[in-house]
Amino acid sequence: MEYHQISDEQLVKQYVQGDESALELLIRRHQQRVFGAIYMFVRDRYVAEDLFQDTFMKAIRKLKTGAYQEEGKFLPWLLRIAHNRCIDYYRKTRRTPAIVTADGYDVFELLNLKGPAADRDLMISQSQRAVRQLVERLPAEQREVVILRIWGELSFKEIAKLTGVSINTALGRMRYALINLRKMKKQLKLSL
Amino acid sequence: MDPSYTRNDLIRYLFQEMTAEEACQFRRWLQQHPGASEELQQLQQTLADLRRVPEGPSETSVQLILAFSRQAALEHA
Repeated sequence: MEYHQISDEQLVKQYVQGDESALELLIRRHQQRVFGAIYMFVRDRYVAEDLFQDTFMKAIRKLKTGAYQEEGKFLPWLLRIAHNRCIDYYRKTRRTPAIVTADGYDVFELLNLKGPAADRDLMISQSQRAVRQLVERLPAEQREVVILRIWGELSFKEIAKLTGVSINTALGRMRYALINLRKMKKQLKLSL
Repeated sequence: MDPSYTRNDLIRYLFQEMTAEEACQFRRWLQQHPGASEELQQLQQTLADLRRVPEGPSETSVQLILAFSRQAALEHA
């Protein structure tokens, strides 16, 4: 059987039964979506790498202890773990005491503003960077839907369940996000 | 918009979350409503821009996960 014909569930089953190569296939199959979703959330390549590893390690622990029960829904399950890791990350960083400069600026905020220009951006093209920066400017609830739908490839029904809103709210947030992105692109005169 | 459709239906159509029958009816409806059709085109263009952002983890991350898994397998054995 060809690799692409093997379902996630079959690979999960093989992995749980001790076939370590099945895990590599699962990672390769979903790494782009999971990493992309995390990256767009945290906006820092190094943090995203950590959270990506953390997500799979958490998934591995659950799989190996038989805690995975979601037949046929491996990717949404994985993305839920990733989403929770991102939320934990934000909670932890918010709890970090703010270091304020003599001018009254929060040092962590200053670092975050400087972040996108740092060396992590060398790896992506100008136009990709422009798109990512536009997404970063969206209100959090719109950004969340964009990330989960476009990079996470979750359905609006799954997003609604994950974020605790109605399907119509999730659809509306996506619509406003796309309209806002278009407006920003015009305002900034970007050609993507 | 026609009262039979909401703007959220444009998003459902755009992301192919309508049934084949619904999508077919919606396409017919769009042909008769150029305003909605133009709005859909703008949404499609923005979506195409967004889909240009490929991101992937480093190979080191993947190898660390695989090493973690092998270690966990030894501990569970």
